[in-house]
Amino acid sequence: MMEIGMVLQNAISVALSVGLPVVVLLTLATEMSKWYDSYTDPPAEVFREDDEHH
Amino acid sequence: MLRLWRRDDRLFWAWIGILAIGVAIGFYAAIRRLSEGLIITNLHDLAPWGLWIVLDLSCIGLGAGAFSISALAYLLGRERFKSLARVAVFIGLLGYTGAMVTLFIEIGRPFRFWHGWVYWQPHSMLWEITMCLTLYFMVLIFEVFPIAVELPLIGRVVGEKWHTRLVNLGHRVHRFAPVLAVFGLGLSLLHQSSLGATYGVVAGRAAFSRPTVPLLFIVSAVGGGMAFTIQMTLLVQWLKGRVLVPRQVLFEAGQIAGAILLVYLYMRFWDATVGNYGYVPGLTEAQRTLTSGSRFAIPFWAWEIGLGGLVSGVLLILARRSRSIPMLMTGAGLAMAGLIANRWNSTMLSFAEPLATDPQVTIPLAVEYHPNEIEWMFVLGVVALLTLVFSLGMRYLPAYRGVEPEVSAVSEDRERVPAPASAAD
Repeated sequence: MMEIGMVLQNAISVALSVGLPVVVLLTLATEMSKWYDSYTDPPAEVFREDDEHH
Repeated sequence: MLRLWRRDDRLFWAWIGILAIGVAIGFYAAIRRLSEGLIITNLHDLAPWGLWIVLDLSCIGLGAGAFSISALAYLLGRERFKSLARVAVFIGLLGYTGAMVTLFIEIGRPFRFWHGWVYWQPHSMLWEITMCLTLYFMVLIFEVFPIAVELPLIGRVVGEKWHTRLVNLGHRVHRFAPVLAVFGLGLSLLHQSSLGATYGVVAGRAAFSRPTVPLLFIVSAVGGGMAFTIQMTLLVQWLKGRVLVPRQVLFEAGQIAGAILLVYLYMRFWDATVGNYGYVPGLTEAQRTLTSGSRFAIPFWAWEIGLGGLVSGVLLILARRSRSIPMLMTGAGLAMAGLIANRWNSTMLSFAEPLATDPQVTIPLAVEYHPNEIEWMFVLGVVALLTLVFSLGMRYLPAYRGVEPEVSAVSEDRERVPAPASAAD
C-alpha cells in the first residue's frame, strides 16, 4: 500500500510541476497561432524603413 | 478577451494594477531586509547563495539575447535582425536592472555596492563580474537611449525643443550601435561565463567546483536568452495585434537558439560523463542527488534536460521548416523554463551536499536551505516590476509600435478582432 501511495504521490507531483505548465504553454501557443495564421507579413521594405527610423 | 484587451485600455491598466500590487509586496520585503538585515531570510554563513542568486542568474541569462542578437545584427551583418535586436536590448536592460536590484538587496552590506569600483580586487571573480555587469549595463543604457527618448511623454515634460534635441542625440548615439555591440559582446562573454566560474572556483562545494561551469553558463545563456526574446516578441505581437519582427526572422533566430541549446546538451553530456568517470568525492554524491534525488530529479530531468533542452531545441529548429508558430512559441517557452531550472539546480544542489570532502569536517557542516516567505515576496516584486516596465514600454515606446499586418485570408479571427489600436495611442 505504501508503494502505491508513493507512486501516486510522484505521479501527482509530476503532473502538477511538469504537466500543468506544459498544458498551459501549449494552449497559449495554439491560441496565438490563430492570429498568426490570419495574416502575412508586411513587405520587408516596411521593416527596413522602421529599422532606419529607430 | 483578446478583442477586449486590444480595444479597451481599462484591461491593460487593470493588468498594470495587479503588477503594482506585486511590486508593493516586493518593496515591503526589500524594506524589511534593509532595516532588519539578512537575518530575516533563511540565508546564513553555510548557505550564502539562495533564491535571490537564482533570480539574479536567471535575469542575466534570459537577458543574454541582447548581446547575441545585437552581435548578429550589427557585427555579422544580418541587418534583418535589427528589429529583433530592438526588443532584445530592452529585455536585456530590464534583465540586468532586475539582477542589480536583486544583488543590492542580497549582498551583506547593500550601501557598499559601489566599493567594487573604488577598491579594486582584481583577484576576485566577483569583482570581475561587478565590473563587467556595471559596464555592460551602461552599454545597454546607451543602446536603449535612442528608443527611450522617442517617448512622446518626454516631449510633454521637457518641451518640444528639448525633446527634438534629445531625439537627435539618440540618433547620433544609435550610429555607434556596432561599437556598442562589440563592447556588449566582449563584456557579456566575460561575465556570463564568469558567473559560472564563480561557482567553478568554489573548491569546498563539490557540486559547483568544475572547470566546465563557465562554458555551460555562457552557452545556455545565449540559447535561452535568444529563445526568451523570441517568446516575448511573439507574445507582444499577439497582444497588440501588430507585427514588430518579420516571422521569418523569428524562425531563423529560433533555429539558431535551438542549435545552441542542442550544443549545450552535448557539452552537458560530456561534462557529466568525464566529470564523473570514477568516484570523485563530493561530486559523485552531488550528481546522484541531482539525477535521482526526490527534490532535484524533476527539475533536472524534466525541465533542464528533457523539455527545456532536448524538446525545446528540436522544436525551435523544426519550427522554421514547418513554419509553425505553436512550435516556435512552445520551444521558446520551454527553453526559458530550462534555463531557470538549470540556474535553480546549479545553486540549490550545493546545499544538499556537505560543505567539504573531509569526513571530520563535513558532517557538522551539512546544511539544508529552503527560501522563506520574505525571499519569495522579493522575487515576486522584482518579476512584477520587470513585467510592469516591459508592458508599459511595449505599449508606449514608438520603437515598438509595430506594423499593421496584411490580412492573407478572411478568417474567423479577423472578423472577431477589430483594427488594433496604435501603440502610442
